[in-house]
Amino acid sequence: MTNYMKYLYLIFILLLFHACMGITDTSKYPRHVGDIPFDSQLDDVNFEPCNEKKALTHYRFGDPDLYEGEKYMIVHEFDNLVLPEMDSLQSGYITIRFMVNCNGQTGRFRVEQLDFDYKDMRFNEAFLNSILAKTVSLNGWIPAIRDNKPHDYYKYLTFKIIDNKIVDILP
Amino acid sequence: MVRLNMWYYKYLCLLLFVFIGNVNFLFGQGNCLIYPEDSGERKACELSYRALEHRQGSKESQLLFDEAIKIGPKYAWAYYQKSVPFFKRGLFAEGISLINKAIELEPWNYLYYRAYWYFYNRSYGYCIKDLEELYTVHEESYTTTPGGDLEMRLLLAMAHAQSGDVPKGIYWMQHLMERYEQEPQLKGLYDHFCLGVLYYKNNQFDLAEVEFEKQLTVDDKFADTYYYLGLIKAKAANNTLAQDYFKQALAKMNGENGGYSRNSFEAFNIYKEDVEKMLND
Repeated sequence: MTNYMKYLYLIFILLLFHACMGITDTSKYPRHVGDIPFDSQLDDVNFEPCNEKKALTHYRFGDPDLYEGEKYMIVHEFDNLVLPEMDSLQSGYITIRFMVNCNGQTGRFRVEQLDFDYKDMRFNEAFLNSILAKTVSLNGWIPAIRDNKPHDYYKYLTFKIIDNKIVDILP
Repeated sequence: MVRLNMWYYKYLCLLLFVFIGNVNFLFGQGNCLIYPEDSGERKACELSYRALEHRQGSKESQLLFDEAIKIGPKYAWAYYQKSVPFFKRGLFAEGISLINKAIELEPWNYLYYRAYWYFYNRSYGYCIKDLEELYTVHEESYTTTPGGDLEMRLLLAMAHAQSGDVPKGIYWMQHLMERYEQEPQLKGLYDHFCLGVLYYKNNQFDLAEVEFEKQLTVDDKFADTYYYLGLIKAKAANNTLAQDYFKQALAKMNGENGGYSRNSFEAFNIYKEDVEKMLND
């Protein structure tokens, strides 16, 4: 019986070891796809999430836009944006991801630039910064409520650019 | 006799438990048992179902999908499932790269999903290419958006319209309507609305009105239908009726009597400001 217990104990330890070995990678992915951890090189230290561990993505809330005046107002904000003149024409997608905290403030902006074949590309820096600065300045974000509590959430805006003009804003 | 009945019921209960157990076992593992035992696909399938036990997009689930792909690189569903959270969170390059692999293996199963995101991103040319392949080469007879509310031919039709070929959009909507002749129960909530919009864009206002009237019989709470009917009446210089429709559209958008609007039609979406503008004209 004692031997039997020893074997059981050994099997238990082996199983535990195997389970731990099965998922060893702790750095490849964030807590959740699309999470934006704080980066002291990039992020404003004054932006404070309320409870980052419980941050959700925007589509998990009933209101798809979570912006005062809905998407119509977001589009309107960019209608008035004067983009810098450039020598060459560029087209593709600029996606800006960010976090909205439970007070409706934004931070942790990240940018992805793709051509229409979904390959990496680089827009002119001044052009990109102009769109980024306007996105950072948007101040109509609505704190998301779930279970009667405000939550931090991740949001993104994708700008479809054709020949240096914003032709659409998604989602 | 009573004893026989008791035995019979016990036996029946036992059979029922065995049956439920088998059903749970089979469906709990999805369709993994269709793959040969010890095959990479079987293991990948089982790992993928384990991944689904975690929150979509969580690190735990992504790592399990990675493991599944490593063991069974020909198991398409793992690539597809792994791609979903990337798309939903605006990480399109990663999403496209993963779904491309699923499509290489099983185009008939996953073209619709890539097409859905192409449409969503206004990549109308790519959306058309994927969906025309799905419906012509793979002869798909009926498939919906991931949420299940729109048949993919609505997106194909709208993509054509957005690319400047409205008649081709109408062709695909008619193709879909023919499909419903065989199985009318499949008809969705917005098919007549979509066809109505395309007729409207093609300046076929009488046909558009017919479709919008049909749409009202399917769902009279959808605000956008009233807006387009208002536009048709405005075109016909019937301003009184037009204004009446715009008022109804605004009321529905404000949620009166269960009214609603929705933003699934991209460039054809209607916003409250659009309706208010027509009311003020």
